[in-house]
Amino acid sequence: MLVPYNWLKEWVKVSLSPKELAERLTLTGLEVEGVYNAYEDLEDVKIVKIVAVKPHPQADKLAVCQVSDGAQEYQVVCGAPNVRVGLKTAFAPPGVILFTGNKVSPAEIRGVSSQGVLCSAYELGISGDHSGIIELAEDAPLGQSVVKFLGLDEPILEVAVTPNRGDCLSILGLAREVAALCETTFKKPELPRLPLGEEIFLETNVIIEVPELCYRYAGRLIKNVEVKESPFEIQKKLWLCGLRPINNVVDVTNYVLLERGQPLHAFDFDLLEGRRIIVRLAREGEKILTLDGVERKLDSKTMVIADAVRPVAIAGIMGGEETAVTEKTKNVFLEAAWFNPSSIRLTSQRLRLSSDSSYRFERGIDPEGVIPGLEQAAQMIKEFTGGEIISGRIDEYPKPYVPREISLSQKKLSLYLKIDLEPEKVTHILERVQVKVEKGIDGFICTPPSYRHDIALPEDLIEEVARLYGYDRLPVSVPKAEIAGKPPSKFEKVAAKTRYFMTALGLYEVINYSFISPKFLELLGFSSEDPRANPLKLANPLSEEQSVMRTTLVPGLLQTAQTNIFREHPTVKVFELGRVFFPKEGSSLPDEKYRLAGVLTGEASPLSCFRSERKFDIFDVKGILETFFNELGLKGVSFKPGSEEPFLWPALSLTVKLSDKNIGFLGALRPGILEKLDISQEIFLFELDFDVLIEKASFEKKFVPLPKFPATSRDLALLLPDGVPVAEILAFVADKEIPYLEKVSVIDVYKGKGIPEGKKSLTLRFVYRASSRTLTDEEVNEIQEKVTQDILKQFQATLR
Amino acid sequence: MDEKELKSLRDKALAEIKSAKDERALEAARVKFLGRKGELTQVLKSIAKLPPELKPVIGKLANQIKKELEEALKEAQEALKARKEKVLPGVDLTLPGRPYLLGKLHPITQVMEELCEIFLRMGFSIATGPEVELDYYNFEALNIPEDHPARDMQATFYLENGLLLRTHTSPIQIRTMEREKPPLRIIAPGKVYRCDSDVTHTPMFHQIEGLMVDKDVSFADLKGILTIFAQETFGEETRVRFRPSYFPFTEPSVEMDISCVICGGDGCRVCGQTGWLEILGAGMVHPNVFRAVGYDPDEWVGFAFGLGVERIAMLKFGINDIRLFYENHLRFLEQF
Repeated sequence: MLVPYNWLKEWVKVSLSPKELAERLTLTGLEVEGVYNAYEDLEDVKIVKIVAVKPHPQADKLAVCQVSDGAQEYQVVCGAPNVRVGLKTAFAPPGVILFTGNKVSPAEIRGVSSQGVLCSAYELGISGDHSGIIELAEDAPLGQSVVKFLGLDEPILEVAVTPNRGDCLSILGLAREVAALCETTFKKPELPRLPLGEEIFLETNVIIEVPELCYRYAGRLIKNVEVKESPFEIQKKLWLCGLRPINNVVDVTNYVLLERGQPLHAFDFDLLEGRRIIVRLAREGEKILTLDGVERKLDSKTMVIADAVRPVAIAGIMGGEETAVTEKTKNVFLEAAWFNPSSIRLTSQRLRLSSDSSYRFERGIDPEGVIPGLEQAAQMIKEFTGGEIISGRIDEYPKPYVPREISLSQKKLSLYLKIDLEPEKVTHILERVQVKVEKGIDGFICTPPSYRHDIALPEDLIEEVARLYGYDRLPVSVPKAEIAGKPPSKFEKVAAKTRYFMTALGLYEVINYSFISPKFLELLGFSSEDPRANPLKLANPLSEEQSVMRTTLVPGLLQTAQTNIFREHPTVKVFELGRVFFPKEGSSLPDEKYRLAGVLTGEASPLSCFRSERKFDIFDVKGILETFFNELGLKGVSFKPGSEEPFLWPALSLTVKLSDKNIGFLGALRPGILEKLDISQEIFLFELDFDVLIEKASFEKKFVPLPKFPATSRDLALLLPDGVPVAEILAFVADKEIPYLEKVSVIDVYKGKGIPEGKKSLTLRFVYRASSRTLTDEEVNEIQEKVTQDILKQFQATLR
Repeated sequence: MDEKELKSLRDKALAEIKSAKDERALEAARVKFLGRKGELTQVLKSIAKLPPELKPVIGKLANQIKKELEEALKEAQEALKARKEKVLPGVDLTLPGRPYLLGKLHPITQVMEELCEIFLRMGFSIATGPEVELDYYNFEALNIPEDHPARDMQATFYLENGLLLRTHTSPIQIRTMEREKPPLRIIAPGKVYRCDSDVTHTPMFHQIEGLMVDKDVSFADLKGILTIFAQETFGEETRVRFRPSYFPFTEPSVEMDISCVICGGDGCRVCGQTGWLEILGAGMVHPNVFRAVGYDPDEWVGFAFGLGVERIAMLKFGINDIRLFYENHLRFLEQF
């Protein structure tokens, strides 16, 4: 909310500067987001001198002026009677928004181009004078900002009023708050004495059909008005608050809304069918053209203000165009009401239409402020339009406001705040914010003022005491120590270890958005039965790119790879640990599953003077996962060649199994998808079901004594058919239960030159060790010979 | 061999030993004189055949020379070793080292871990909950009914089936309180979502919320815990201030500012010349929240707080655009 400092000062005595006041408000709960000068908007208007005036070739009343700011000349078409050579005046270049709300732009006026506007005092928000352009002193420095030269200054505080403080959404409300904070005097507004009587009831009547939605509806009738421009001072105040002046009736309703926080609406009385008002729900199919020029369909949940036949306003939100006050209006019906905040808010959301009125109704207005607002507005309209207030006032009040009594115990107060305030002190503090305080049995009985809807519970009173006493003055302590919380969950442990192992293995962690583009899922080519092809959809996404919840981490990681490759970082070795989402029937919560995934692409060993480059390959991924599984203490993990994943290259992919269950995959992205991503380097991916890892991981370690006796090793070089997978040979050996065999490693695999077609050469290293003695060569030879013969027989291999 | 010849053998041997340029030459010299067929060895072997009057003289001399040569050899060996250690191996030591590449955690994870650690040490434990939530847990139970203007404070992402993406990790507080009896001391870290995107907002970000419920917990404790937190996070010299604020689920509500980490409180661009930075929101748990989870508000008191991890990370690292966190550019990630 924009709060003009000087307007505020009309109602409260303030000795603080705007900046100091802003600080004070911020520290007591109304955050001031900025303090600025309202005339800053006009800062670009500069002092120029008229150097030449020529008549406009097409228009008698216009002149074509050449003006100079000392550095440059501009041509301006101007209709002011006082243009003359030598006059120093104000020139607004394109882009400036004038006091009138008009934005200056370069224009062609009857065939003559105009590079800006020469301004009147009115257009600069200085005075109501728009008889001609402003005349500046002869010594005014050319090119300088007019605002600076004239010292125009209207400090504005931009206050962020929290949703609970609807009572501060007005100048008066804020003045009241400032008075409480600074313990200074607040000037209570006087209620104008307007004619009460019966006359109005002869002319019109108001029926509230929905008293649960419309708590109070009051009205006045003002006749024989002359609708025209408002006095300058009124216009200026509206301008300071960011509103545009319209006419002397509408401006008054806005003025009172700003000053008192009471929304009002003025109808052209003669356009109300039946000259009456009915507050009711809209009928299905009814429409209204609202003041913003939009025709809106109404539904039966929407409260409207209707005349005898049709809705003329959406209650509390916006009036209708058809009954608006215009220059033709002669008689005005002025409305001031108090509507159910919830109803206004829900309607405003349904219609996606909010206004200064609805904003205030939603947050709760002062039920006791309805009549003062109405009376002040009626009085001002009478003054400005020369109209006549018909005697009598409508005030339908089916649900009168009942003050709340809240009891606050001294005990609770000191339990919360850990201070012992004397009862007199508490009473004094609460009375500063107009809370009536009486002594109760063990504390206070408090009655908050009608405008403080936010004070309903003892805790609310405690906050008032705390905030006015000063949060910073309240004591500080540390809670009494208790034996600390619970041990970390298995998830926390496994997640922390996983992050540790992955980074130790050289992978960077990334975090991608949980929402992805559905196009990405399409690109990966899941079949329609695949749950990953059926993500949860956002109802209000920011963009198509972020419109569904991810069902796999792959799209995000591919995006990470793409971003880096496109931005000259072609080597990517990263992992992500996060959730994926699978919808469930109806409106039950989706399944949220953890996944661990990664992507590797580019150089496995960076080019340096010590070694040559090497690109990542699938064995990098496999090796990382083997080490990782081993460190997680996972037993029974195997890698099965091939994968069903539609986006992986079948010949270069593996399925990860734990016992018989598939727990993930790794492999190379299909070339066709690479092409669509505009990537020309191989990409390797893996993704694992992390929930299974959490369950199966085991960090129990058991010490194995270090060997006391030396090991003996034997290398076995074989020539065998190319089609035999090495894993089979290793499994064969493992099954044999060979005595003293400690380890078998694959130390060489070779195909090509020197090896017959269809064969490969394989070298295995067998390491033997006995725990209690040194093995003799003879016995190792004997064991090794037997293994060799078994392998040769089993796999049709020959020795190399 | 007479005495004279023996002495000249000695001189020759000593000269060769001394002139040996490397270990190989030295070894050759050893073999030549002291080896099995070495010149001096031959002399020693032949002593037995000498006339008895010469035996003691020559024998003594030869053995003395042998000792002398052995010492000279040893000395030469030491000298060679010493010289070798002094010689440069011909390597350009100014070359860069071999590249060893480390993986690192995302800066948000790093900051999350650091912040959680502070609370874990104060006896809080970690609680988690779903990221897709029911309106009830995200709003209703937190004293934010459907018609409440406070819903404007958090632009919410809804799903097509009426569920929503949690806008804060507060639903975890509700779920934990429903499940567990007080006293309670938890923190709830996690991802949260709001429809917002600019230099200071991403549609997904991270929060850590804390909740403490006990019989005797006060506003003073809230101030104490959060002051410790701020000083551990931003340094002991950090000053804090508490401002009244509004959150529907706490009463009284408070916002905590810290003295600007950039200018130390003098006023700069980062703190908007105020010298203060808003860092977290907190307050005493609203009785309606307790009622929603079946705690008796007359028996239990509590405080809760919530902070944005990205904001703290940005301040700690001097990052000016929050979106960088989710671009995952390695040149960015490598810096932390």
